Amino acid sequence: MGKGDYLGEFETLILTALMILRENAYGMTIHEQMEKLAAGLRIVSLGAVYTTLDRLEQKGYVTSWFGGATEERGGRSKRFFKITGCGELAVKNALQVANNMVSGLREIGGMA
Amino acid sequence: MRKGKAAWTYQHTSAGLYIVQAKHGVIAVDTDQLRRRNVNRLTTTAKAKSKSLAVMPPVNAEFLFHFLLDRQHSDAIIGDLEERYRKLHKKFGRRRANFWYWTQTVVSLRPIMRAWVKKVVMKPVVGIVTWAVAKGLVGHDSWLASVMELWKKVRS
Repeated sequence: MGKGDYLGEFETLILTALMILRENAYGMTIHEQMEKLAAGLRIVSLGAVYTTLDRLEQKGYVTSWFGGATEERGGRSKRFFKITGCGELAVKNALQVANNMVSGLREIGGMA
Repeated sequence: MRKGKAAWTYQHTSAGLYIVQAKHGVIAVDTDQLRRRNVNRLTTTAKAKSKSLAVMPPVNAEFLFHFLLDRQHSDAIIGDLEERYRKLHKKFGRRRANFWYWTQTVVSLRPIMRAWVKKVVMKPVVGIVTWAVAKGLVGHDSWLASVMELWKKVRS
């Protein structure tokens, strides 16, 4: 695993949202899901979501395609996203590291 | 008799009627009714227009995305904003939806602009520097380095 293969906090958040949403993952639903996941802890902008998704696509963790245009979006098409096997593995690894950190802190009584 | 368009002629009578002389015969039109119908049609059109405008997000904000992204990507992001805007408009009203839309646009522009600079500006700059290094324009044994060395000697 190279240095660029590690996931940042925001990237982990996006990939988790994609895993939750499955087939219905496009810009707005991802944004809403991330706001739920990071409720009150950080501000999520749609632009940041898209640029991070582009970066994740370059890394091979995500694939994207354009759907059909709908009336409720003013005739504009949706861009759907799907997490790849590589991406799921990266999320599992990141969550494992987070779990290890939590249990390490619990051992010394750092977390209630 | 006044001339209208080439295909037909019309005349206004004191009873409020238009006598229209068309190619295939004469037609009498009640102007009051016509006026009423036109007014109704105009009012309906205006209402429909204002209704559709009421749920339209600010257009000025869209321009910024079109400037920085290609058409498909900007359409996707604007579509997402518009979908959420309509939801908020229905739930909280126009003012709050507009505020959300503009806030999201401004906050979203920073990462998009950074990515744009990286893509559009940085690549040519890196290319030029690489070319300059390859050509020996910069580096420890280049003519530029000799000039810098000379400049340091002169200053000291």
